[in-house]
Amino acid sequence: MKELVEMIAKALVDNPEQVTVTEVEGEQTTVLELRVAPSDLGKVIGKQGRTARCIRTLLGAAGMKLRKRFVLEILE
Amino acid sequence: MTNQLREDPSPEMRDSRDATEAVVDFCRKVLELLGLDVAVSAAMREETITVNVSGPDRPVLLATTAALLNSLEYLANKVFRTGTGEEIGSIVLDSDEYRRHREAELVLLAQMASQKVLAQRRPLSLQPMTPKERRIIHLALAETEGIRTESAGEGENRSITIFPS
Repeated sequence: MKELVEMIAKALVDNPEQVTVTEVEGEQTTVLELRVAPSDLGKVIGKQGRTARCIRTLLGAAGMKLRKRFVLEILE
Repeated sequence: MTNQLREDPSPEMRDSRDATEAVVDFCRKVLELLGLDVAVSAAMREETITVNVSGPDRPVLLATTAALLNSLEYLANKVFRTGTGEEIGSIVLDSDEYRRHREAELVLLAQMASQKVLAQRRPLSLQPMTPKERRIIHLALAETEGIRTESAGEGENRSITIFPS
């Protein structure tokens, strides 16, 4: 799912070269840590967090199929 | 003037084809990375790109009132309709006429709910809905006498209440 978050984030931001995603794998939960340029934070979070929520919805659907839980964390 | 005549006869058409293709590529890539078995196609009409997603994993797209389809639609609009070059009016994601069926369902729901409000003379709140879905309800009841509709709440919890008036 790292590739998915990376691809969407890069499409959303102004500075795609500053997008990094690290995958921290747990037993049932995988945490995806997304870092973007400070000026791009709003782009990946969105109004009232709507963009971030949409990405999380996608991850939820992927998780259902793979029987895993994916958690998206946006780091400053 | 002569310049314009010498150009490709349909540069706009080429642009819209490129835009449509880019949107399809994006959707296809996301759905593929999600591991979903679906096919993506699209058509552009009057600056609206309608993307159809269909296949064995269609139920995953439409689960919990099309949460996945709506999320992908929102993201596609964010990605392709920001800043300059506003050649795309809007991007609509659909799955085998889902939007049309959902609209019919919402209109029916609105009518039933408004009848209940008229009979009981008491306000009635509906489930939270997306802005587009709320709009369908508001419009469906705009002409109905004896009631009025109002939205309240924030973000994904925003919902319509029908009041007797």
